Amino acid sequence: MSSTQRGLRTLLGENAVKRIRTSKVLLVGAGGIGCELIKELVVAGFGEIHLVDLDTIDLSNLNRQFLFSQQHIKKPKALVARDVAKEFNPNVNIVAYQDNIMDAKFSVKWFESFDLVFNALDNAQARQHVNKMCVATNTPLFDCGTAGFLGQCQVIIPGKTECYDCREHPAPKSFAVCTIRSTPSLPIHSIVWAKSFLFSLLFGPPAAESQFDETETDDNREELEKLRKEQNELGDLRENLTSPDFMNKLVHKIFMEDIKRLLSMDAMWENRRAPVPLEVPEYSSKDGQTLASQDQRVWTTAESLSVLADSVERLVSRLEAEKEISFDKDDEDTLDFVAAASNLRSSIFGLGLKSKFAVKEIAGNIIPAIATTNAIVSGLGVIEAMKYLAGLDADLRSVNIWRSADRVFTSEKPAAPNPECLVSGVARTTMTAPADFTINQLIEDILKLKLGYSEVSILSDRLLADPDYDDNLEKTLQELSLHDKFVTVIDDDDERVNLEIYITEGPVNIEQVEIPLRPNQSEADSELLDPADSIPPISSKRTAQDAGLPGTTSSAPGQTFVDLTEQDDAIDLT
Amino acid sequence: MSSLCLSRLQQERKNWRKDHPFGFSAKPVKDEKGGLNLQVWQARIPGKKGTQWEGGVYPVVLEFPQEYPTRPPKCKFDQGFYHPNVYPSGTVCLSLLNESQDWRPAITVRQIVLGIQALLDEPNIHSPAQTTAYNHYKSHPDAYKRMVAEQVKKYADY
Ligand SMILES: [Zn+2]
Repeated sequence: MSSTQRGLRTLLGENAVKRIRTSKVLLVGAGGIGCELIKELVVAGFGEIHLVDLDTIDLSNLNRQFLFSQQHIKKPKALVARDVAKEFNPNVNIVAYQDNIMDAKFSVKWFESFDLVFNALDNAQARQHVNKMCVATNTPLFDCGTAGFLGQCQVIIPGKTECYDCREHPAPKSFAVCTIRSTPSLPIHSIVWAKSFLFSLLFGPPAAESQFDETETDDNREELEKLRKEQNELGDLRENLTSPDFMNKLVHKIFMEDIKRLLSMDAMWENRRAPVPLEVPEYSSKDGQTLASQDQRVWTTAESLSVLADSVERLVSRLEAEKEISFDKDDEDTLDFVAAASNLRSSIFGLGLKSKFAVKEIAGNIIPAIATTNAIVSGLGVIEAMKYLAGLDADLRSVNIWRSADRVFTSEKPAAPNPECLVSGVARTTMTAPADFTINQLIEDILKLKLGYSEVSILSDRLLADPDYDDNLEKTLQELSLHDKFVTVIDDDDERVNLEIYITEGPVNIEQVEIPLRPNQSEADSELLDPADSIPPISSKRTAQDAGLPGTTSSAPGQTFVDLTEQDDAIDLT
Repeated sequence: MSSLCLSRLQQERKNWRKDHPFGFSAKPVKDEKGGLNLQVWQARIPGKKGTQWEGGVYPVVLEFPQEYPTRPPKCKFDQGFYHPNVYPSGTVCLSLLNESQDWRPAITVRQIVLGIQALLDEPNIHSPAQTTAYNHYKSHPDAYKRMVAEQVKKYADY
């Protein structure tokens, strides 16, 4: 027995140590927090650990994911973490999967087999998925997350405490199309424009065919032609990517003509600072590469143009082999393009200029990760898990780490589940039915006859049926591939809480279930069923845009829950 | 899709099914797996009575992001739709649909389509999205009228 385990025996008692040794735990994520967690679980003597991560190791991981080193680059995180961690304690059984935790093969049955689960994830979708599976299978979940100096370990005991979804988590801010296309007011708006609009229009997947129809009359032909031109000009640029004159055309169109067109809509600039079309100085793509390496200082207009010209040459030469290119902060060609183009736009609109290094951070939505915070949060997670295994339920705490001089840690007893939560506040049951069982049979024979519903909507990840949508009634569970999945039954009269049914194949049978009435039904309804056709004011004022970095989180204790989600890049700005 | 997004959209669907403004339609589109994709709705918005837009019914696609209702949906007319606040691609520029302006998670599909209907006849010249309709609206009211009338005709028996 190691000294760590002797210490644990003194602290928690022989029984707890035995439970730790015989426990089977799931760890989701082998990144910054996952690496710390698995190390601690192994050293503490947890007997069987299953580790799931889809990613492979990247050079940029090595500064904080200490189980990985140079020779592991491009190898699967889960498998390498298993091999390295095993050296700390050969008695531990580690099972690694290079897989997405949301894959159907990680079924309810599989989740059920664990004594407890750790989340070490950085995206909200996977965190919500694991949370739901844990609540559905009554498996304790220790959800760990960090953002820079901030961190959190939330203890989730299904049925007893709040789950991950019981409170709302702030989503990273998005920007309206008009802000990005016409009226940028912050440097980040220029960066989003360069990355998601200009870059993807030139090098991304080709846009859908123009859908202008041919029904126009002579009267409006000219106007529609103009409108079509406005729509298609960037497409025309794309056609000309390989022309020797391309850079001139690009600069002329994007930084001069388009700006003049915006200026011509003069009402837009009555209460805003008007942009100034670019005056193009002498520049040469020859200097581009050298300048691009000077990533800590802000470039002049001529320097930005040089980098832009050079990066365009590099990107165009890649197009033959690659067909289309998507932005990646670690792809220098794409980053140089975005850094240069965004700064040119910012100077036109009088916004602050940024070094390439700063652009990389903003465009790549990089939240600085701090190894120490990861280590602390992991330690907290393992301590709470040990308390749980030792039967010290009353001592369980959710803990936050703050960047504050007064108080680094705050802890709270996990609150009771939110009755309106869509994960904790629903009824659940299981049923078996054969492959040829239809949706109509489900509704009529089971829901109406056995469970006493009158009208229902049936939902999986899509709407399958409701009183006004009957296309699927004769379709079978097999045709709709509903086996080994949850379907949600929603009471059309809003009286009962939602019912989630997990369907597996077998003879028709449904597990008895009590479906409670919805809490404060009238209140919930009045909020959504707004009877008045009240339209919020359509104002033209621009409110203060204090967006800052995407994904930044509040740092005041008690003010908000730390939430760590990756900014969604998939915005379409057309 | 997050459960919050899905369940809210289902609630919106139910509320719309049970009651919606006269002359409007809005329905999630079919998806290839057999079912309705709640994240994309096809709506049809009639021009308001007594305005020059009356007589047309205008198709609008509502695309709800994963983060809905924290984030607003994106609303699109057909490409090339003639209106000062509609981009040539069809995207509507409206403060109600802007997270930094008037969007709030409690805003319903009903309020969105009514907001777009109101925008048709009350363009906001401070946030123009296309030069053609903007210039007509501001400086050539006759041409504007003519173009809107043409468009009403085009969408009359849509
Ligand atoms: Zn919950």
